[in-house]
Amino acid sequence: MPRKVGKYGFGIVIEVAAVVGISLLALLLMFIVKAIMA
Amino acid sequence: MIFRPTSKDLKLIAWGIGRVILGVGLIMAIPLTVAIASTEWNTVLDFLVGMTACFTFWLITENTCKVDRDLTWFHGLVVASLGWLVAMGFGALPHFLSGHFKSYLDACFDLMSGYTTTGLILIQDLDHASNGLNMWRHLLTYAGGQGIIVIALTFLFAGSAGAFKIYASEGKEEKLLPNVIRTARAIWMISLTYLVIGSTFLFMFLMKDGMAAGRGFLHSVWLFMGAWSTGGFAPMNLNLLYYHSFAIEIITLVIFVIGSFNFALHYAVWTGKRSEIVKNIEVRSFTITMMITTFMLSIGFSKFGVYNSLTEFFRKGFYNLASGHTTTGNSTVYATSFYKEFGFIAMWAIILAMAIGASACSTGGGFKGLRMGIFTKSLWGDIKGLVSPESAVVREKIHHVKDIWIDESLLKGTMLVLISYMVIYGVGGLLGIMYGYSPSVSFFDAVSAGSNTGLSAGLTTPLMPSLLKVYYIFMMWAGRLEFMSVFALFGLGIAIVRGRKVGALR
Repeated sequence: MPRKVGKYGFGIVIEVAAVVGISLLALLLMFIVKAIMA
Repeated sequence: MIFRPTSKDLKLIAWGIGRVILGVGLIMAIPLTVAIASTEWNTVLDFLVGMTACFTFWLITENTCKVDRDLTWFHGLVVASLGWLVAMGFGALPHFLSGHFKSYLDACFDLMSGYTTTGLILIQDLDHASNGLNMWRHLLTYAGGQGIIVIALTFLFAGSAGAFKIYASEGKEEKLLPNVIRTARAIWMISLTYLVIGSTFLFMFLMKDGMAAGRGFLHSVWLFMGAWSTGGFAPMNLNLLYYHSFAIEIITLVIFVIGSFNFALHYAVWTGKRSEIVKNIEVRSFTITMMITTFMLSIGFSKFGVYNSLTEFFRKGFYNLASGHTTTGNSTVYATSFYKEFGFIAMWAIILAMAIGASACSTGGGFKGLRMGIFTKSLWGDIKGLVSPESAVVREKIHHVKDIWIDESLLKGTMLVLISYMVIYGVGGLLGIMYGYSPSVSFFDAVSAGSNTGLSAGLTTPLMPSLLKVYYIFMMWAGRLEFMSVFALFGLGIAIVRGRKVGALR
């Protein structure tokens, strides 16, 4: 059971990291567009 | 040749629907408990009436319609499509009795919006709704996200060989595990795990912001249910704007983006296939279309001078765009801001994001990333074919848990669903224009309803024309079921009227 929790828990961490990654990418894109069009 | 369904076919369908309605009645026990705990006795009565109606319907169908046959694909499709409509009628009882709705149609609208995880609302004076009613609103969107049929499968259809047919008819074709009942339970396991984690984080930050413990607990659970199911419901009329909290916005953003992922992807990543998160066609498709629409939104904001700081770009722009793309509907701006402040380009960026939508076999709606991936890859294959030697055979594949080759039938199915979505979006938009709404507002709300998103530019109010309300209910229902079950229901109607009287349906 503890191994299963660890395995699933790591899966959750990976999914959260994916969302953070996509959000940061979007933030960077917004920054670039904003800077170019300023 | 079309065969007319026999009385056995109709009884089998009614029996299946009876089981679904039993599920709806059982779920009402949770808001009933909340209402009792909150000493809201009027609400207690509303739910007792609702539960009595559900159990009576189930008892009638169970005793009069049970036949010694298993469900065929056709029965499964009709049970799914008709089951949602009947469930809407029964589920709307506590809504209507609460006195928060102008008419029974408005109550049905909110019910369908909840079941289909859309999030558009016609409820009045939401800020003073009882805890029991709020629990029901959020619970039905949470349950609807997993699929009403999944609930029925988990508890009420055990052992039925026709179970998979109803499951697939609800727009969820993928089996996470070889057994469909175990698949339904795995979906619940994933959702409940996130419920505990997500609600805990939300509760901590609501406490930090000074909310009372009991209220904070209920709000955290409701906000989680609204975000995870990509329903976008919130207990307050201003939605996420009410909280004025960057932390709450970040947490709900993470919840609804993860909630929009395919359950098969969750299961693969959780059980050790970690690279799936970067290889999966739906994650790649979502990332690319998210960046394209973010680019459009940023240009729109910069061109029209809307929101000056990068923080505002993120909190007002990206949050609502991501909410639209994941077909959630949680919002950090007033509904009229989309129309009055965002400007034409940013507004259409959100419309495009909503139309594309989330992942297949998730809680979300829209075209789905899988179909966008299949369509784009196929188009790319055609382009490669044009520049390749005539004798060359060009075939494209996508990666979704495993490699899948794109063939004619896969592409045909994809195109059929894409065209169906475009037709309902188009008709909805034109209907709004016909009633005098501006094209942008009209298409914004129509695409929002058809893709089960829930963002509104101000058209969706209790004062909107009744025909639009009925059409929006149809759009939410058809969009959530991805059309096949809806076609089957029309087929049943035609078969009853024009079919030839021969044996039982196969």
